[in-house]
Amino acid sequence: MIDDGIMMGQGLLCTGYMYTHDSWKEYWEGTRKRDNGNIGTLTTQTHQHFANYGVTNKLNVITHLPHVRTEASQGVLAGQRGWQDATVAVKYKFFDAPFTEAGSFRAIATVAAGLPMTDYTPDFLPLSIGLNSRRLTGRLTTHFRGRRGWFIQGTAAHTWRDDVKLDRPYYFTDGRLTFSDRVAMPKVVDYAFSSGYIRGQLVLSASFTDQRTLGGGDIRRQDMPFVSNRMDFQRVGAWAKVPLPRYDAIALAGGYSYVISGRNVGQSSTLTAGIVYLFNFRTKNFRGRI
Amino acid sequence: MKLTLLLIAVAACAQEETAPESTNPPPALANDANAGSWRFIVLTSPSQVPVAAPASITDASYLAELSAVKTAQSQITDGQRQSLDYWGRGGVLRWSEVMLELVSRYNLPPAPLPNGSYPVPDANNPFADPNFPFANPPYAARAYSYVSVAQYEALKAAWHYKYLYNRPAPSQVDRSVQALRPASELPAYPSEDAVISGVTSAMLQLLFPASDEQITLLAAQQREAALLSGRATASDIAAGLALGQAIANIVITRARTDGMGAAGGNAALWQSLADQATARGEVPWRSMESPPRPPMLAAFGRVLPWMMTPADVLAERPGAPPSTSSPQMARELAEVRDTVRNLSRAQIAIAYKWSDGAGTPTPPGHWNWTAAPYIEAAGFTEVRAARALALLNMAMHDSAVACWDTKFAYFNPRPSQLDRGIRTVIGLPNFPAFVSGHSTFSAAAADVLSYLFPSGAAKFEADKEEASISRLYGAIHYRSDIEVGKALGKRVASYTLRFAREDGAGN
Repeated sequence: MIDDGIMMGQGLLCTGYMYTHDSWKEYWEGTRKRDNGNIGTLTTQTHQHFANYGVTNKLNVITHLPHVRTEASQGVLAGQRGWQDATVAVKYKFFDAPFTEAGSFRAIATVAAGLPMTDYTPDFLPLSIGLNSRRLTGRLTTHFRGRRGWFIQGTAAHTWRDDVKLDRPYYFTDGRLTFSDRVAMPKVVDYAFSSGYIRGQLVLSASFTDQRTLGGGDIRRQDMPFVSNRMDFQRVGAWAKVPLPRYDAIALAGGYSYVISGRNVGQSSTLTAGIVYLFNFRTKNFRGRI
Repeated sequence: MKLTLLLIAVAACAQEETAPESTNPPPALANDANAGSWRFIVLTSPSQVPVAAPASITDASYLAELSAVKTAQSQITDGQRQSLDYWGRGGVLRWSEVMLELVSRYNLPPAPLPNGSYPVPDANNPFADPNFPFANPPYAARAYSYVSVAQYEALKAAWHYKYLYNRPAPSQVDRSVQALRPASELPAYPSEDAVISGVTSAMLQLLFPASDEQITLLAAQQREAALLSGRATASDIAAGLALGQAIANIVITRARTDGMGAAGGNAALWQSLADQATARGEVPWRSMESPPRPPMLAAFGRVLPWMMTPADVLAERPGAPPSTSSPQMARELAEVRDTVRNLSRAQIAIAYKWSDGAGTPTPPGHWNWTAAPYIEAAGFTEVRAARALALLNMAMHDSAVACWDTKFAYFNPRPSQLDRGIRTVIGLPNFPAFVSGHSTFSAAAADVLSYLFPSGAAKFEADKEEASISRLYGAIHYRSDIEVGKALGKRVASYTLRFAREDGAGN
């Protein structure tokens, strides 16, 4: 929602619930791919509520709040659970070329803030439920839609992350010991391309995502990951949102993604499934525009 | 490049810990002029390593050295000024920070091989995977102690010669030499900065051979700063460097025969420890790692202590822990289970604060870090600063020996082994539980620091309690491990304190 080119029309509220099951057995220790008998398979399950409201046709406000649970299939390390980081985003369509013979084009700017909701520790990776860093993302998305519903879009973002506070007075990362409990977090950029088909509430798409962290150290040999590590990945995925027959205010959504390469991250397989409700606060007609 | 990074890191990151309460501690005896007569630990006399008499300050060679200092000062660069600021905190304290970083860098266990075995770090091939050393807590405790003791011995000898020859500092001899660090009446020959650079770099090259390049550069920079600051001439520095290196070699002779080479044990030893525990009717410790990893330094309890004899170590060994089949063990196991299931955020923070596991300076390093602001605030001379860290680190090395002796005498399992439902919130150390290393180290450290800095005693005591109980919060120790460990640490520290009271240095 935050990174796509789809806008809610004025007075429309898209809300719902998503369940995500992410697991990996192999991970990249720096650039070295390996498994770890003291982790086995690391599973992260996320329950997420979200809402996307069309303030106007050009301005959407989006929020979501995930509850995260981690678990390692081997070893003695305790899984973690809790409310993670709330996201609030404002999405503004600043350019919209109307339909021509070929289709339509729009450009969207998004500003998103991530705010940790609980005092969970980020210092127990890979079992921590998140990085516990406040963050601000600026994103630009372009979306081209053909007359028959085929679309192609590209999005790119830059994320600034606030210092993370640890419960210990020093830490070693990136080749040196720092005598402080505050960890400077490197900036992150990501970009993604996707292509697919939209018709009414039906969306089918495939995507490629590349995330790069602009700094940070590698996981050292046989060390644990650290919150400010250089976490990079390239991921491919597919996504579908299918409305219920004869009642398209409710849709079922699901997707799958797979990390094809990475650095200081797990090689995740991620399954997502959820339900999406569309409310119309403007007219009695539920047929919203997307 | 590495050196620059290190400097920036150290300079940019001030200690966060609150300063000691007493901002005006009693000053050390004027320059500790009698330090050459303080009791030695490894050396037999202050003149065991000869230092030739220096040239007179009216000699042409010395005058040439003075003008070399002035020339260097007139061409000083911004980088050199930064270096003067850096070393201005004191050589002993700076090298202590460097040690914390070196231990953190090398405190990583070897990764398993594809066949499920674990390679052993090789001192003759330190850059290989795994790096040498694996600076785990016993290795680190011993390393900190060797560096501190060698510095202390070398500085006492240096003080002996300083007051034997009484050659003033260049800025005292010639007023046109600037004193870019506070001038003192401390005689300059041999240079204490050069002594520290020589003794420390030689010790660290033995203990952390893969960081040889960084160590050598830093030591050279310390000597350069001594000259630029107007504290020492080339001959003050040359004599200090030679003295430091010679005394390091004497200490290294001890290190090569202290039993560390055999501390890892072997498969036969590991099996016999398990068999003996089984024969006593106990559940023997086993590794919870996958693949199972041999226990950490199973024979470290046989390594030579500093202030105790091997017989003292055996005499101080605590009685057996509660039997693995006893009702008391069942109760203690239940306490671990209940504690970790109901941890408060504050308890989790304590577990992390003191975790000091892989990739950290270890618990002995944590206590060195705790001691540093007290040493700094006290305005100690280098020789007295070295004494403080030598006493602290000898007590912690002896704690490591006594603790490991106990751990491998009883080979007692961890909570997660007896109850597979117990999951830990910090890394599970790969060696037997009884007694807690954190508790032993911390009790010994708190007693030594309280002796040296009575104004901090309440904080040291509180830290000791927190460090100890953090292991219960982490679900890796039973209460008996903690209580008996603290008592053991206290008894071990008493040997060091007995020495400290009689070493001729006063408090």
